[in-house]
Amino acid sequence: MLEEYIDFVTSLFPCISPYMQERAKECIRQFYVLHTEFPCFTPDLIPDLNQGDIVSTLPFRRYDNEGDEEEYVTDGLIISNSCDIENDDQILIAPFFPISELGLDLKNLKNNAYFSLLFFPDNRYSNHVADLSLISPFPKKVIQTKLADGTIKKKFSLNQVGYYLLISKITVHLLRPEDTTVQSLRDSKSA
Amino acid sequence: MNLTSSTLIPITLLATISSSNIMQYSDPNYLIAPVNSLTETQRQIELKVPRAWDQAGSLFPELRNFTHEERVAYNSGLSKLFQKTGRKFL
Repeated sequence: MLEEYIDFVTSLFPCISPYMQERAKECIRQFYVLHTEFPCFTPDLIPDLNQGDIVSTLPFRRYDNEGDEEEYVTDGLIISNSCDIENDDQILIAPFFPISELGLDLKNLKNNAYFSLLFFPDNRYSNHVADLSLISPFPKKVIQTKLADGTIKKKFSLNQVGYYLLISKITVHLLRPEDTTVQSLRDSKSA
Repeated sequence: MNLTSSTLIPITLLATISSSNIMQYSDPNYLIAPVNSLTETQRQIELKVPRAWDQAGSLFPELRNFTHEERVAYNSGLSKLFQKTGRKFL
C-alpha cells in the first residue's frame, strides 16, 4: 500500500525521483518500527517562501466558546501551495504547539495518530506538532517584510520526505471519506 | 468559493467530483462499469480519489480522532497557551 501511495504521489508530483520515493518509504518504515528519527528538513533553507516552510513567531488568533478572541505567538507551517504563495496576497499557515503543553500521549503524537496534528520526526524540531485544524491566512507582504528585516525568521524548509508527510497528512485530515449518512443525504437532496 | 490554497484545490477538486460516491469506487466492479458521461481524464481522476485517501492513510497506521478525554486535555492545553486579546466575536 505504501509503495502504491508513493507511486501515486509521483504521478501527481513527477519531479520527485524514484530514489527519493524509496528513501521516504524506508525512513517512515524504520520510524514506526525502530522509532529512529530521520531528516525531514533540508540542510540549507530553500530561498523565498514555499509550502512546508517553518516560520517563527507568528500571531495566531482564534475564538473561544464564549466568543472571546485569543492569540498565541508561535512558529507556523506554511500550508499554501508554493505557486499560490507566489501569486496570492494571503498565505495559509498552521500553528505549531509545544508537545509538552498539550496533555496528550507522546507516543500517539509522535506516531501521527491524530487526524489534525502533524509531527515531523526530525530531532531538529521534534518538540512541536502543527495543528491543521487551526490554519489561518496571513498577509504575504507583511510576512516578507518581517522576514527581510529579521523580525521573524524562516527556520526550516521541508526535504522530500518531510514533504511526503505534509501532503499525506493534509490528505487524510481534510479529504477522508464522509460519513455514509451524510453521503446518503447528499444523494437524496441531489435528486 | 475561494479555497485560497492550490494545495487544497487539486485534491478538493477530486473530492468534489466524486467524494459522495467514494465508497462505490472501492468496489472493483466500478472499474468495468461504463461511465459514458465522463471524459477519459475525469475517469482517471475519479479512479485515483479513493487511492489518495487509502494510501495516504497507510502512512499513519494508528490514525484516529481524539477521544473525549484527549480532546478535553488538548483544549485545556491550548487554553493555557492562548491569551485573550479583549476583542469579541461580532
